[in-house]
Amino acid sequence: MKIYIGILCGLLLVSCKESATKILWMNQAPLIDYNDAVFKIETSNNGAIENCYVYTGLQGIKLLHITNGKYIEARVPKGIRLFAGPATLLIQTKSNHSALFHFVGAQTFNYTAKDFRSPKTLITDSSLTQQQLIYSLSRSRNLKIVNGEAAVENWNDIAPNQKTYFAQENKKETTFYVEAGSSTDIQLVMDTISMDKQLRFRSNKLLDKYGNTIVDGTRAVLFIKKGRKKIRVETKTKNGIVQYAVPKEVKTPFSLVLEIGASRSNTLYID
Amino acid sequence: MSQIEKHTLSNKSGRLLLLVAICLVLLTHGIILYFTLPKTYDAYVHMFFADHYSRFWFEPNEYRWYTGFLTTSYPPLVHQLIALISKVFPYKISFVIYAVVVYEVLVIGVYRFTKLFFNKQIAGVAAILTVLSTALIETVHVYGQVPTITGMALLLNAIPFIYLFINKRKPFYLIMALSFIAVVVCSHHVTAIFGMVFFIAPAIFMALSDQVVAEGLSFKKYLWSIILQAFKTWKQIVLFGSLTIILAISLILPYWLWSKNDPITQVSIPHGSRDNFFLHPSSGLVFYIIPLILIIALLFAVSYLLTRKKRNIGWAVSFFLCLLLGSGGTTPLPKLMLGETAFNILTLDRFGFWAAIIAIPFMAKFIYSFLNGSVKDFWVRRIGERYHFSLAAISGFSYLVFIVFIFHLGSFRPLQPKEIEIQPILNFLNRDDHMRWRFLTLGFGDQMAWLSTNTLAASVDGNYHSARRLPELTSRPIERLENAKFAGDPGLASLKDFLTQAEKYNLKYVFSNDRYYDPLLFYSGWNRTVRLENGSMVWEKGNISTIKPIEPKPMADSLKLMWGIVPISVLVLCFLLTFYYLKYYKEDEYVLKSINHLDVYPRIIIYTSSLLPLFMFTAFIAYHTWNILLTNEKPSPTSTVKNFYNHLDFQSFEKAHTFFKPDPTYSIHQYLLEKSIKDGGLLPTYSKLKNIKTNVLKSGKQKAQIEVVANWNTSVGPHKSTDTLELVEQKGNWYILPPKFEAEIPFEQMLKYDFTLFKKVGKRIISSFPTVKDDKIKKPFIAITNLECIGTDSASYVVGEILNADNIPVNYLAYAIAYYKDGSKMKYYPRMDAQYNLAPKAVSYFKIPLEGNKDSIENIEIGFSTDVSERGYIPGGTTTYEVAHQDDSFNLIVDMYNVLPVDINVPGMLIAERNAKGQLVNVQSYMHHKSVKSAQQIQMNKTMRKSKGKVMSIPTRLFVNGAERKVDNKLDNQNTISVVPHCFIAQEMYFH
Repeated sequence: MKIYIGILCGLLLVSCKESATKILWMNQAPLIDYNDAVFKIETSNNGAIENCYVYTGLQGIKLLHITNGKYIEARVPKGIRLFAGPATLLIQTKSNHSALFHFVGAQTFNYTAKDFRSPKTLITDSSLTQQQLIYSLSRSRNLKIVNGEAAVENWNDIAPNQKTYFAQENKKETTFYVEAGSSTDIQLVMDTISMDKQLRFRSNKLLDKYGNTIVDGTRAVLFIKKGRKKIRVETKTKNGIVQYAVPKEVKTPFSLVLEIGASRSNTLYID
Repeated sequence: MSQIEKHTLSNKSGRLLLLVAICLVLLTHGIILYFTLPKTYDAYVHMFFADHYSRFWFEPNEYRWYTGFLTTSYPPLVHQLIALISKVFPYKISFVIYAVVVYEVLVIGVYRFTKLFFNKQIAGVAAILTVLSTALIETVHVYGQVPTITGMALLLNAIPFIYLFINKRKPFYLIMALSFIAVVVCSHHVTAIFGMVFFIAPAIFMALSDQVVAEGLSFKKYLWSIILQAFKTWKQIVLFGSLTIILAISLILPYWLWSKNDPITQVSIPHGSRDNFFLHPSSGLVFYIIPLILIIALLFAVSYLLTRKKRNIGWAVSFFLCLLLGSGGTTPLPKLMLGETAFNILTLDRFGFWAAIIAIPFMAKFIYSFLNGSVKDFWVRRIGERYHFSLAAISGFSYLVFIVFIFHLGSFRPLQPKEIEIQPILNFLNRDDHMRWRFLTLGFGDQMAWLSTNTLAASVDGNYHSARRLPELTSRPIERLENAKFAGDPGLASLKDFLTQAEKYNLKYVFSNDRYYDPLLFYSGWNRTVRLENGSMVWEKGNISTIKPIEPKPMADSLKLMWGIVPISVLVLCFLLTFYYLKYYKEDEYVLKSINHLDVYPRIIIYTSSLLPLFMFTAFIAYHTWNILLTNEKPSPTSTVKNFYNHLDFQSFEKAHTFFKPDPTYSIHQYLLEKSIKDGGLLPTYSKLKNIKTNVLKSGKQKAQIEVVANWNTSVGPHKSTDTLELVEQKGNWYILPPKFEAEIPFEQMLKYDFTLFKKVGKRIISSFPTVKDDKIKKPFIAITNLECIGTDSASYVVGEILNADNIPVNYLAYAIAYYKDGSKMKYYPRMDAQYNLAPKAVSYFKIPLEGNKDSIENIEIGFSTDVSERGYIPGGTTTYEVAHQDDSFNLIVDMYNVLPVDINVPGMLIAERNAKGQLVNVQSYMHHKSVKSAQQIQMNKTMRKSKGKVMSIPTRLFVNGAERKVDNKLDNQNTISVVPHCFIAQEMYFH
């Protein structure tokens, strides 16, 4: 029995030999300026620190660390630019201990916020009140401190009013794309009757109020009314045009109307 | 042979048999358990708990199930030990190692327990019987209940110490008994509580009995002398009792605090062990006959041996009480004895399990006599040694066949779905921060616990129903969401709540392994995203917020430390004390006085107990052989029809085909071809046959006409179908005449259909941070073109018309917050009466049901949040409809032509009804039971009651993506009824 107790005591003594290394990030702040990103780290055993890393949204970077008296200074190597945003500071020691600190980084050099609004980024839907969030994008990715604690995104909402914008000539526009609004005028006409005597119909080129062609894949619903029966045919626009061939089984007379969203075409009566 | 020689021989052979039993455990359970493990009920749940302790030893808050619960709701020792083993081995192997070790301890426990009654030889036979006990095999290999086995193993080892302490009054025996009981308490609280009644009380009674001279006393006098003896040893009894109670309370104090502060208030979950076994023979078979078959076969001998000696009275009472309570709802007695609440909480099969344990020594005694004692001598005298050997061999062999059957019960009667490879799901959860939302599994069985064991992702569901606190779960008798289809209407109602209120629980992903749920998921606004390599489909709901930080349930740090340290310490202490006992205290015999083992039985006992096992086991084998090989399934028209439908339900089409009249022109190929063309749809593809009723319309000698009314359960509600079958008699068998097949050949030889595909390109910067702005895409906008609050006599709801005003397909989440006059508010979501995915510029309708008194609503806030949808905006085929109005109803005849190159599996429509002013008054969905093939047409004829709803003048505010919007009222008084196709297309050509 004494042997067992001895082994147990021995195990307890051995397992309690190593003391944990406490790691402290001294200049801990919720927002760090990446241009001068120096992390001051203090441990009970400076030599125990093996590696320091910063993990940003884009990449993980190994920091260079030097002992500076009582603490360690870890900084971003030259030539590497950090992508601003939420990040994690990870410190590894020889005994496999690691400490994690979370923060948000920013590049705080001077910048001018650029307004990216243009006719291309607004959907000029004439039938609706405009409501799209547009933001000013700064180089620090719009990060700001609120109450000295948290970093938030700075968004600019535009008022729900209608306005015409003009693109700036000779200026690079990188992320703009054209999106058309609702078609303003739908004209449904009968196409030429083909050899197979199938009735074919087509719309005019569907444009929004600024002259943009409405996008492919826009849902178009053709309602064919024949007596008390109503046939609902779902189709879509291609190159701004809706085309449809009425099946031979649908005998004349019938009426035909095309609806796209809240817009409606003229009604065709086929005898 | 002298008494001493006999005793020494008994000792030696007893130990030898114990060794054999220990080896048998390794060779049988050790090998088989790894393969039976995936099909057990509870093994994965215990592994999940073990995983919790492996990750967070001192933190009892577990957030992966039920939006968070405390693991202090179950004694921790078993899980902590598996967690420790799992540091070296994988979980499944750790579980097997643990279970086998505990089984060995149980074998030793039974050996020691039996020594209280009989000699070591019998104890050795009892040890072998433990290896082969159906009750134990079922508990381990079918239920996976290792804590129950652990509790029992330690309790049985504690009983001899209790006996010794009461008799010999040495404090060390008290310490030993308490140390074992402490481990029982930390392993399985139910065993500890009921063990006091069914095991410890009889042990104390027996110990007292052995201190008095019972021979020659009348029963009354005997009882009186026991009472007097109890008074003489009151110090020991009180000391033991009070210390046991203190241990039971203090060791698992956090458990008691949990059960006091957070009592279980949930609707009772039905369990087969509470059924009336005469009315539900399948429950009786699983929960009573299988575990207790050997006891039933040897009941006369066990009863005789139990009641033969006065010292066994306590055990006899325990045994018969357990046997009675284990019979569930067969008689009203268990409910009367336990009370309504306990009866509905407890699973009563555990009482049968305890009865089986108590019976082992007595069964061992009779079996020993039968093989090598007076019973053998009796049979040898009667029929000779050869026949006795044959009798023993056939009985033993048929029992072993029965045991093989139990080992593979999970295969014969599948309790679980097939094993699912979880790695693809883990990869999916780890990708793109999918863990930031909750998930739900459907059709996984208990493997959902195995999935949770391997991931830190959280599920709204769980597999430990005592910890459930979400009202959607506790208010209905449903065990898990993932097997809702087996819980009938309440189960599906609960699942519907979660699927429609997904935002409330941050539920974004559903992993479905059962297509039964597909229609429900689709019509509740869920979209298929990807089919994983393991065949599971991932369904996703858009616009769901990520999980918010969960406030951990408060618990003192000291209690957390105690929960992590005390159970393991108790076990270590028990180990050390056992070593000490073996070295310094171990006695060869611990029974106070020599027990007279008279090996004499009345003839009736010998006959019944020798022949009943033979009869029962062979009858069992014969019955199953007959069932499999020799049953005639076509003896009468109604039997033919019922068996035919049974095979159809299990999709055994080859067998189903044998029910048609043999005809060279109607081969299996022809049958399957016709079936593939005309069958499909909600019935039977997405349904489960509930029951069928047959009505004989015409009956003759050789011909019959049967009407079959089938009731089906589907995930979107019950359905009923009626068929008429013609049958003919041929050579004594009744066959179905194949139905006349009319081919529907479409005009088109080659169908073409084109549509525009959309794809959100997604991350243009590779980043693990989801809030990087470069990935942001504008929220598509929608317009509400009509919005009304409608009240009827019995209900109120919000209906509206919605337009996707954007150029990209939209998926939206809608809600209505009703503010009541008493200051309260409630949030409601649309259910199946809505189309959640809209193509660019598409128009559709929605309905949000409200609850409570409509007059008490002060105002309503309607909100929409939108997201880009890449899928799900093909609503169906070309729809022709005609409305015929009647006084208070309208008849709708809808022809749907499938223009798509794939089947429309569930043709459906959304029907919007307007009043004379053009205001929407009702929106409802309809799903047809039959599918539409490509280029074919189906007619749906539906008569519906006109809505009696009236527009209520309740102030409403509309918000779209957080910004307040106005309703662009577009009143349409031309069309009182509008129909929008709303169909489910299963084929994954393009996730529609």
